[in-house]
Amino acid sequence: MYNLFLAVNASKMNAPFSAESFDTFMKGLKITGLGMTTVIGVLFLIYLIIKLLIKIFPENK
Amino acid sequence: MEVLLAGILQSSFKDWIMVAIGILLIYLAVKKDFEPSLLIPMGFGCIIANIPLSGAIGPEGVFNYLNASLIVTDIAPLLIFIGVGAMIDFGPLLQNPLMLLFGAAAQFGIFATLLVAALLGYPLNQAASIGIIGAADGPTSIFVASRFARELLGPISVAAYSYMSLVPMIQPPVIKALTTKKERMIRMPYRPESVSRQVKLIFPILVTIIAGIIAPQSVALIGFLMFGNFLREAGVVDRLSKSAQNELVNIVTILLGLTIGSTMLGSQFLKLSTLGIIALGLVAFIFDTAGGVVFAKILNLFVKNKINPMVGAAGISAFPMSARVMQKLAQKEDPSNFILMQAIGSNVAGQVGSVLAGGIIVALLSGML
Repeated sequence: MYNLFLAVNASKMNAPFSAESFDTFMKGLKITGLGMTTVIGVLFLIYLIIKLLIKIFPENK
Repeated sequence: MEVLLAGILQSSFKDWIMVAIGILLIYLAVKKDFEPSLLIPMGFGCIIANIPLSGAIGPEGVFNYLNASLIVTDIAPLLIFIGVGAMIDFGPLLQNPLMLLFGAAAQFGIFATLLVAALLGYPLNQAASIGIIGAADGPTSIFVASRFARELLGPISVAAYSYMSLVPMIQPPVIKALTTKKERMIRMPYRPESVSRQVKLIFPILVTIIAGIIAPQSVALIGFLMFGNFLREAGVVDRLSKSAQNELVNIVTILLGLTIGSTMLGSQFLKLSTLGIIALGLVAFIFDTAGGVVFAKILNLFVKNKINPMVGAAGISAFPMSARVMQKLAQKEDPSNFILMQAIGSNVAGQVGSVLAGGIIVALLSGML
């Protein structure tokens, strides 16, 4: 059995505010831009579809 | 005699500190009611794993098998999501779908914390896993951390679940710092849209398909949540829905908690970076709250019917605690103000938003690493 406890390899930390950490920050910025835009965009799309569905399938009173 | 004393003879102070941390988790759960259903198993798992020469860990240890089958494979968080989905009533959200936008805005903490962690020197995989604490959603945090930073699973889980319990203490000061009393007193007349059964049935399928198209690698995350919700709404499988809400969630929570606790080994947990993770978790919750509040304030510049910014803060996923906290705060300012239903809608939207954000991070990070 593969020992998962021993297999864990912590990734190397960069020095705070170093050139490497700024490089990681820039990659993170890309994830942030794409991520936030996508989350807001997808939920807005779902909002529009729900509004449409409520009109298509009104509740029978 | 030496055999019997081997444990004591070969123990290190780190083992005993971790045993003490395990006892502390159990104390917080029992005495302070901090997410007891998870912190008790975690605390116990931590104690069992850190007993010197523990046979529960290591190649043939039970926790090694549990870890391999439940966490590395993502099975445990996904099974919990079936139960969570079966427990959630999306009705208040569907009646007031605008609240979905707050479920998106309040995920800001995830990304802001990722950036702060990156600046502090955490590599991208760890920074993203730490940021996901801001999802305010335990299974999502575990799902992402187990993929990208398994070595941080223990501290990330402890931070995620602890801060979810501390929402009543974390959110109010942030809200007060960002809003005026007048804003906190804004009344929001509750005008729910009437929602038919068809819409309630289509919603989980629709969300699964849309989220799956955007982030196919993590479709299981939102898919299992929505599957659980479909069981609830279908109305023809009550037995399955109840099993998902009770037996399934309970059994998996016990095993997941014990296994995560067992990953909290002294050699890996007692590091400065662990304290950093705990602190960054708090940062994530603060940014989440701020994101929701600021977004509501921006929306208020454009809409006729003003939104109480506290409803925006409820967009974090700590359900239903955050919604209750907002109602309490609103009534503190104006005892006759009632924003609970809007806050619940926003809170439920946060559940969808956090899972979606987790999935998107998995998709984006997989392409970068």
